[in-house]
Amino acid sequence: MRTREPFELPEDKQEKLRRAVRLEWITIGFLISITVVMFLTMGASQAMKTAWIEDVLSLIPPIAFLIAMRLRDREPDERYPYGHRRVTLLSFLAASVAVLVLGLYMLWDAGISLGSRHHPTLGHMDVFGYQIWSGWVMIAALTYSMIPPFILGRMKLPIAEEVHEQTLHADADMNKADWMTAGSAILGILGVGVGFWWADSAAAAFIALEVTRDGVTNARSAMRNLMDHRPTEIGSDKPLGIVEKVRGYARELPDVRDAECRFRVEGHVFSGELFVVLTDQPEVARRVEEIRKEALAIDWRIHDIVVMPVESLER
Amino acid sequence: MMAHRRMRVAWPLLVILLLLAAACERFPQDPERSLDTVLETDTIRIGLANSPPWVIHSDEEDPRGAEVALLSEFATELGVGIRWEGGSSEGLLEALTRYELDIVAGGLTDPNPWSAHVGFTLPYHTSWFVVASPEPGSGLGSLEGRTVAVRPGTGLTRALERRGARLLTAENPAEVADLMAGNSWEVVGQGWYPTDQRLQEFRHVFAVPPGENGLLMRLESFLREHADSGRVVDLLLQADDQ
Repeated sequence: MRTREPFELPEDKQEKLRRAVRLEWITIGFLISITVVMFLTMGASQAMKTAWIEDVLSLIPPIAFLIAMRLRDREPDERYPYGHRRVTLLSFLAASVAVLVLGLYMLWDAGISLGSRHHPTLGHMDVFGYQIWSGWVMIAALTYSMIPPFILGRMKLPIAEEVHEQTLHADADMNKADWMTAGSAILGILGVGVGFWWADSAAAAFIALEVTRDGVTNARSAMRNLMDHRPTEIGSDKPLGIVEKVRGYARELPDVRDAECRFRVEGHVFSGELFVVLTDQPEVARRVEEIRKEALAIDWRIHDIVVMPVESLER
Repeated sequence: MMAHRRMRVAWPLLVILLLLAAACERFPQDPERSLDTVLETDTIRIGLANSPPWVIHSDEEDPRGAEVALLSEFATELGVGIRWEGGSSEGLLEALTRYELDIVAGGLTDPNPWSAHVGFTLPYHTSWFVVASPEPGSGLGSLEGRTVAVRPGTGLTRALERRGARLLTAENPAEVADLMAGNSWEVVGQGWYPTDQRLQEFRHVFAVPPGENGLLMRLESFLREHADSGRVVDLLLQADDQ
């Protein structure tokens, strides 16, 4: 069997990717510290409990990303002749579904809380010998939980766009949106302090909604990728125009009468087929290989093109 | 873009809440206005579940006990009268969930299965079942083979036997053996000293209606000031004596 050639990332992209990997390790470190701090201060607040679960869930994308980084550079082999470029997407889809389901559960939990008119009891908390209102301690923990993810998310977002890494992009987006989770929980706790017993559960419901939305968005984008969707810009639905570029290039060639192509996303790279109607010439095979090499160079994200000489483009 | 829209909503909300918080004369507030109602009606409704010597409540006499004493002081500090109500702890805690009472006392301890349904103060006192000796500073290491005297009916026998102790039940344990087991405050009352052998820990709390954080904090502050360990032990011994 003729396996595909391994994909090689351009050097500058490799550098960016290495930076992304470092940032993801840092993210994991901070997230663990945040999880511990929040767990110790959670108390009776529903909103904090929900925010804590969300923080634990945000560990999944970076871990999945780091594992995928190791696996997907494996060269195509007999069992996986097309390579392993899609491995990131698999874990991403699994994680998104898990997030979605948990989001729905938390939404239900918050609903029950509101329905049963649960009044959260927040008294003093003993902090190193001093007694202060547990609400202040929770707000402090939540404020801490806001800052590192926001900064790290902003650092990772441009990298994700430059290396066309969808999972990194989704992770960075989630990090950046973390301030909303923590912010909602803070508003919930302040609301309880002012006398609105429902503020805590309402905040929890809002957070759960956000988490569910995240799960749905990410699951859909992972599904599209796994279903051979056409190449789009990172984080949006706009087509990238790869098809137009490659087709345009081929049609410009003097010995090509007509050309058509199609592309699909495979993880973070594209692959596709280019159909050319060549003028009569003796060395078709050599010409096709030349065309292939030149088409591959059009965009660094193109992993593989199969150039197919055809008689005509009519169906 | 969605995020920005929310930011525009979030900041004003935050400011409003902070202003409301600053405007409250008390923070946090009671959603059901328990403390305000107490101060307005000049009465605090306290439920008592009999649990000597923490709470001694019967039809024949006025309530007394260590916790009764503390709560009476609390009411005095607030400048209100008390309406005592007796009952089982279950029934009283149930009434708390309906905001029919303000505080419930009855030798309640934390952790407690009711903590999801009512509010509990921070533990104001910790007591133990201990093995005690007449000599201070006894580090026994283990109870294996030692004779320990207990009062009958304490429910400590299993715990002691599991640690290898030989048991001697007597009405006056202090007189029959070198080691006795009982509540930490009891043994102090006998003039004995707790050893390192602690059989069980009890963290004593009061219960308040769920979510009434203003009342809760007020009670906790009072307890922090007036319910130090020595004072509580004194109150317990006084109640025991009578």
